[in-house]
Amino acid sequence: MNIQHNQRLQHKLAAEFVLGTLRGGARRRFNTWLQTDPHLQQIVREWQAHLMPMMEFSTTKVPQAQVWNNIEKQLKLGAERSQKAVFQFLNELKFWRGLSMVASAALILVAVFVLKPQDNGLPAEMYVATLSDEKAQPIAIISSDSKRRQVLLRFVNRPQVASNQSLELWSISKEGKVRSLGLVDQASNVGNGANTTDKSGEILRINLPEGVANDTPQLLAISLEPKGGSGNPEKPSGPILFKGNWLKTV
Amino acid sequence: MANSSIPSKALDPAQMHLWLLAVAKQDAQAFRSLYEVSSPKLFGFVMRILQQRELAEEVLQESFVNIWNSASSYQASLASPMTWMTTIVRNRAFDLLRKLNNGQHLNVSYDTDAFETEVWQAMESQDATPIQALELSQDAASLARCMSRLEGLHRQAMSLAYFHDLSHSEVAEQMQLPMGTVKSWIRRGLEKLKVCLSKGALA
Repeated sequence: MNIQHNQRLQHKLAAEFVLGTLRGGARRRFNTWLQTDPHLQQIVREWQAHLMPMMEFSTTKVPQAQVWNNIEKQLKLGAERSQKAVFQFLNELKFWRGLSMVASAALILVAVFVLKPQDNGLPAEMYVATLSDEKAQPIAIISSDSKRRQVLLRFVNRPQVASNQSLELWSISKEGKVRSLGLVDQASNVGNGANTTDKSGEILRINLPEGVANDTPQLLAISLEPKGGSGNPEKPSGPILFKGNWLKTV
Repeated sequence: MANSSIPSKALDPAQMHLWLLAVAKQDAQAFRSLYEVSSPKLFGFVMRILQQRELAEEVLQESFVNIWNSASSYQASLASPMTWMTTIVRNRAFDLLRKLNNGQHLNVSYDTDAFETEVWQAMESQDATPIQALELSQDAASLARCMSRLEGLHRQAMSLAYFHDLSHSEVAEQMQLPMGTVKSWIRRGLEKLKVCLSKGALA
């Protein structure tokens, strides 16, 4: 049987091939033609597009959470994802180091204005950062308070976080060393020192951990974590949502 | 209608396409999103084929491992994301079905799915709202519109073949009709669908 010049027969066979009623020798022969005939492949694609949506005429059912866990385990996605997050994180560091300071300078003025230190007069050395999302939308402003070994964080746009998730702040030093500075959810506690919010609840005071000074970070970043944080003070487990250079004001 | 405030769960092909391209680059988060959006539909489909939760979950798991591993070949397939994934899931489910049937392990009932019954009822109704409430994708809605124009029995013959991997003679046996009758119903049904669906595409 020569089906090459018979469009109607091609469609009939392709349709029954996709539906599944083309069987036995006829199916095997069709399959052989299909391997070498791009035109026939196109007709089969058309019939798949026509008939596969029939699957939607089935009652929707949510599979157990275990199915996803098994997929993740089988493909080792958990490990790959967090490795990738850190890799991207360090890669982006190079980019941010080279970033023009012009845009940041305008925001520093804003930062200084918004985060007035409580003591009289400006501290001798002041550092600020504007943390932005991937669209360069500013999310938070952070400044140093060297007298108290603290940094102050204030959200410009408060991100929405699900109740089972937390935001965690990270310092990345010039050498690329990553350290957690704690959770930055409202009035949350983490690690050795409790981070506290001021009376208005708007400025978050973050105690710097051992080994991190005001001039340690090169970059600050906020990652999205499971409730309570990454669990590893040297590595975020979730994606980096916001980041910014830690700049010394002159 | 009581549930009109529930946001549409209809699958967005453009978004799924982007996720699949990202999955091809080993993006685990895009994969997760893709799974969350498509798995209830795909799982309902596999449950209809295999009718046993454990087997259906096994097939869904294997299929998604396959989707992750072959996402890079997706673009070349020129198919819509859901068509591509459905083909993978259906092939896997049928493979298992055949394996188990040869060992006579599986007893499948061929009752019409409750949701499918709703689809045909909605198509028959004059009111435009019910069919929208079913949240079918555009492709599925077009198919439902064209299939609703077929005789109910012709539709049933096609549905048995599509969901249960039945041959002409097995469909005939299920419907207690001569095989020649079933064969010509399916053939004519497919011809009518082709005309109806290509009209829809031009409109």
